[in-house]
Amino acid sequence: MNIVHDDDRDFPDDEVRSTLRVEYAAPADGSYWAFLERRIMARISAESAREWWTWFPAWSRAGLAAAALALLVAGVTAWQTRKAQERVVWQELLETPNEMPVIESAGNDRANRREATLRYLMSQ
Amino acid sequence: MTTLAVPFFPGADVAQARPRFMPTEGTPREHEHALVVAAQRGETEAFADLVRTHQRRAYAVARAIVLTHEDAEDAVQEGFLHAYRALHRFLPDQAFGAWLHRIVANAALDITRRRKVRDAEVLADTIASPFRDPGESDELRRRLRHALTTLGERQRAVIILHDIEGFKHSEIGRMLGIPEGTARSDLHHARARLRLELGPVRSEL
Repeated sequence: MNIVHDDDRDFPDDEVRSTLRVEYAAPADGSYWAFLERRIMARISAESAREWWTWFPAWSRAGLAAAALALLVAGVTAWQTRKAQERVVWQELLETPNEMPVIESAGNDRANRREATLRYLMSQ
Repeated sequence: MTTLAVPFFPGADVAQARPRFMPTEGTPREHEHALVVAAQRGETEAFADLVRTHQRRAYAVARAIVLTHEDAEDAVQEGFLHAYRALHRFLPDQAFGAWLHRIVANAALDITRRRKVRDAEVLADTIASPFRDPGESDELRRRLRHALTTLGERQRAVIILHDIEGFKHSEIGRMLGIPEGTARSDLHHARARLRLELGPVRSEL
């Protein structure tokens, strides 16, 4: 079993630690930090001024463009289909033969006969 | 004096510019909370205050992970930029520093991954930050730099963050995205490795 210490018992020694501290020390010059802060804030200001579409990563911008194009193509296709359907309907309407259907009305004929019979009887 | 705040979110109304952030009375935690809330409203001066407060510690986190001062600087800038973009998702009641350190650590890890093509000899040279005294010839320091290159990048980060910067195992675990036990174990192995590498030097010196 591997025993892992929590404390500093297995650290090489203080001289190594202080050497490491020197190696990894942050810059002590205050002007450096003021300069770094200005650089960070300049990038942030530039970020704020970016156009809205640049907030999306490049791949999603390509996806959005493709989706917009697909939507446009679908819209145009739908519009053209609708126009073609309208044209077909008009074409069918215009090419229909000019004969009107004959509606035979048995009821009217019977009424006419009854009326003629009544007139005949009244004339006697 | 009032200055116009740069709109924070895309599409933010420029006409709704607010006055410059004014510091509040109270504990540092309350002050930081107020800064975060103001920054979330789009007050860049408040975010600048957060940068001023946290940049040194953020640098220390980045420096523990990357090999050079320049890379640490890049990681700090990237980290703050990411934090700014994600600020609307941050809950102001949480510790801003811990959240920021994790973002900076991720930015530093990204840079380290991109730098992996360098060979060991280049690593030994670049680990000596040109920011500090490149002409020094101290033997222990030279050997220590070499010894650090023999550590894995995570082990190196853990030993610096713990033994030099004073972070706790749990904090290191959260920053590097590893379990606390792994951070503990990495620290142990990193120390053992340094002892092994530096042992002969120490007896020579």
